[in-house]
Amino acid sequence: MDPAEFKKQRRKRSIIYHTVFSAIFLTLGVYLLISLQALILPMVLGFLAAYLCMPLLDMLRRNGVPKGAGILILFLVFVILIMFISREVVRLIPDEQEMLELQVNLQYQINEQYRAYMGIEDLAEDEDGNLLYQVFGEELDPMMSTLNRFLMLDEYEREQFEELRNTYDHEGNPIISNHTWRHYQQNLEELNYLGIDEEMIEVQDEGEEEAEATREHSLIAEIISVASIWLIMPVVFLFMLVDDGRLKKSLISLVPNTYFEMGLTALDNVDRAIGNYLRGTFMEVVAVAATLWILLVMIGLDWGISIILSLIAGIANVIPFFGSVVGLVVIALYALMESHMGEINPWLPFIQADHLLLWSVVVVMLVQLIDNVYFKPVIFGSVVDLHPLVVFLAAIAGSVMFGFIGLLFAIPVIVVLKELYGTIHRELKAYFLIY
Amino acid sequence: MKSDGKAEKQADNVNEQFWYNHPFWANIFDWFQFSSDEDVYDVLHQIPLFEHLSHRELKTVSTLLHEREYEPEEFVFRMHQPGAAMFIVEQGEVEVIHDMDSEVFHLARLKKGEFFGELALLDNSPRSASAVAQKKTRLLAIFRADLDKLMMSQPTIGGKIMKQLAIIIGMRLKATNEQLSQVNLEV
Repeated sequence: MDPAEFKKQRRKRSIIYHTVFSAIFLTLGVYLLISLQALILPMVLGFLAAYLCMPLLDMLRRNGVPKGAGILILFLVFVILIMFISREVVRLIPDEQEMLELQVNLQYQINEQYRAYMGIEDLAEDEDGNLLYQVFGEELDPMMSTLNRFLMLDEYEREQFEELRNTYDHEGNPIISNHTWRHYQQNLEELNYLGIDEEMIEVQDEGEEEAEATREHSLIAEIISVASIWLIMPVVFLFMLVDDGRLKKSLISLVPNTYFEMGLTALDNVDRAIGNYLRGTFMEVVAVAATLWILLVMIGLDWGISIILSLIAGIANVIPFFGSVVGLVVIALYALMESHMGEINPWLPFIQADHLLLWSVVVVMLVQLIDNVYFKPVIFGSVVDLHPLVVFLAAIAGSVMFGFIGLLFAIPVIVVLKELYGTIHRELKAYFLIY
Repeated sequence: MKSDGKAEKQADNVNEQFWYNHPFWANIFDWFQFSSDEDVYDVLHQIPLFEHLSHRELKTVSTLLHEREYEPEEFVFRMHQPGAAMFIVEQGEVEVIHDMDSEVFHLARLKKGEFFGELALLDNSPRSASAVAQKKTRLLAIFRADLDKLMMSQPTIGGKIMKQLAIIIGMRLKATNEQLSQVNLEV
C-alpha cells in the first residue's frame, strides 16, 4: 500500500477509535456518577483528606521518616479521627425519650420567646402586643401556627410521652421532669389557642405507628448500609497516599504528544488551585470555628458543646450563602434550650440567660462579618476570585443537580473549571496551538 | 547453540518461578512493570544528570518519569515554545534542529541514554531549538514542577540533580565559548 494512503487510513482509524471509546467512557462515566451518587461524598472526602495530608507526608519524609511509615502514621491518625468523630456524633444523637423532651421543650421555648419579643403576656387575652407585633403580627402568627403544628407531638408520640411520665426512675422521680411536663401541657394549650385541631396532627400522622414498629429494625439496617458506604473513605485516602503519582501519569498518558507539555502544565496549575482552595478552606473553617467558640464561651454557653456547635457552623460555612444559615439555626436552637435552663456563666457580666438567643444571633452575625471582611480576603486572596452572582448560581445549580453534595462542591468545581479553562487557553496560545 | 538453548530454558524456568512473571498474570498486572523498571534504571544510570544517585534514589526519580512514544518525523517540541520538561532518549533517535528564516541547521542527533531540553528544568523560557524524532522513538520526560516538588520533599536527591545540572550547563557553556573563539579566529 502507498505509505501516504496507509498513513491516511491509520489516522482515520485512530479518529474513529478515539471517538467511539471516548463516547463509551463518557456515557459510562455519567451513568456511574448518577447511579453511584451515594459513594461520591465519601470518595471525594477521602480524596480531599489525602490531598490535605500530602504536604504532611512530604514534611515527614523531609524529616527522615520513610514513606511507608509516614503513610501508616497518617492513615492511623485519619482512622482514629474518623472513629472519634463517629463516636461523638452517635453520642450526640438523642435517644427516643430525649428526642421527645427536646421537641416539647423546643416548642415551648420558641413560643415563650416569640411572646416575649412581641410583648404578649397572656395567651387567653386578646392583646395588642408591642409595635413589632402590631406591624408584623398578622404575617408572623400563621408562621408560628405552622411551626407549632410541625413541632407538636403526634398522637403516638403523645401516648409514649404520657406513658414515660408515669414511669419512675430508681429514686422514685418521674422520668419526665415536672417542668418538661408543664411545658407539654402549655404546648397543648398553645395548640388550642392557635386554633390547630389535634385531629389534624393525628390524621397527618396516620400510619406512623406502623412505621414506628419497623423503625428500630430499619435504623440498624440503615446504620449498617451507611457505615459500609463510608468504609470507602479510608480506602480512598490510603490509595491516594500510596499512589505515588500513578494517577497523574495515567491521566497524562491519555494526552496526545502535541499537548504533552501543555497538559503537564495545566494539570499542575489545577493541582495547585485545588491545593490552595483546600488549604484555604481548611484554614477558614478553623478560624471561623475558633472565633465562634471563643465568643460563644464569652456569652456563657458550655465550652464543650460550644466546640461541637462551632465546628458544625465552621464546616457549614463552607457552603456559600446557605451554610451560614445552618450555623445560625443550630446555635440559636441550642441557645434557646440553654436560656430555658437559666444557668449560664458568661464572661461578660451584662449578659443574662433571657437574652441568650439574641446574643447567640449577634455572635454568629459578628463572626460572619469577621469572616467576610478579614478571614476570606486574607486566607484566599485572589484564589477564589469569583463574582458573587456566579457563586450563588453555581450553588443553586449544584443543589438542583446533585442535592446536598452539589451544594457542597459547587464552588470547588467552579474554581477547578475556571483554572482549567484559564490555564488551557493560556498554554494553547503559548504553544502556538491557537491564536 | 545447544548450551544457549539450555540457558534460555533455565532462565525461563527461573522467571516462571515468580507467579507474576507468567504471561497471563504479567498481562493483567502490567502496571507493576517489573522488567520495564529495570530498563528505566539502566537508561537513567547512563545519564550524567543522575550518575551520582544511588539505586534507591533512582527509583524515586523513576516515579516522576513519563514515558512517551513518538512516530518518525514527529516533533517532540518546537522552537520558541515554553519548556516544561526535559527528555531522555530511551529508544530510537531524536534530531535537534534550529530553523531560522526557513533555513534548518542540524545541531545534534541524540541516541539512547542521551538527554535534551534540560534548561526547561530551570524555568519556562522558550525552547532555543526544535526536537524531532527520526524513527519510532520512546522518550522519558521529567517535568519541572515534579522536580521542584522532589527538591522540597527530598532535598538530598534534588540537590544532587541540580548540582549535576549546573555542572553540565557550565561544561556546555565552556564548549560554546571555545567554538565561538575558534569561529572568531577563523574570521
